[in-house]
Amino acid sequence: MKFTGRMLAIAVAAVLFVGLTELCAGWIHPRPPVRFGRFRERRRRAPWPQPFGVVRFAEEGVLIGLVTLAGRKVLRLRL
Amino acid sequence: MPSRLRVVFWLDVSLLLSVCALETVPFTGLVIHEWLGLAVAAMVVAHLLLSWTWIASTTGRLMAARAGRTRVNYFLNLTLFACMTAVIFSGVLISQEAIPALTMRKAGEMDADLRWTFVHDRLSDVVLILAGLHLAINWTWSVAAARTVWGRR
Repeated sequence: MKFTGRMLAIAVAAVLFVGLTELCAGWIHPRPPVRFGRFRERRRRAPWPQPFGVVRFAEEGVLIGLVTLAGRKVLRLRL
Repeated sequence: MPSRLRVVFWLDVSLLLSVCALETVPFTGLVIHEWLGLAVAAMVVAHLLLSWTWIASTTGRLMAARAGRTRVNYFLNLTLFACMTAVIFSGVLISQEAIPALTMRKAGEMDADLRWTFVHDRLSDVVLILAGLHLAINWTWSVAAARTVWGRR
């Protein structure tokens, strides 16, 4: 896999998505801060699914994708 | 198509989706979160058993020369296993729904033992990162398996 400008654009879009989600999570569910964003979100333990949860699920997928992308880049360079 | 490959591939896809779902409690709610967490424990055991040939052979030749990538992969997997075990164990200890239902005991106060909650939350973040790296190092296999599974449909 060659790292191109398009992949960089995807990575930037993913980071923006995660950042905006964090911001929105803070606005929609204002709570006393535990850490920030995703950590604060996890402290709320409602028994059943929440409306905003699907966005958080997508965010976790994007985060894993970003780590995978970075991991592949590092592995290609180092190993 | 070998049925074993199909089983391994769909098990891995289920594990990946489950890890994403487990990382965010609001998506599933606490009840599904806890039962899914227990299911993931079983899936991890199945994943290890299906990869046992690789684990056994790699353990044997871990110190062999020119095995840099294999060594990194092995220790990455070992760390992921340790973190996953700790997350599941701490999850069982702070369980409010699944474990009390299984043991017929009243759930303890969630914030009573903040240390286990802290361990559970922080290590689940580490698991997310390690899962991404695990996918990265096995990317070639994953793509080849996906092509095999979907290619003959």
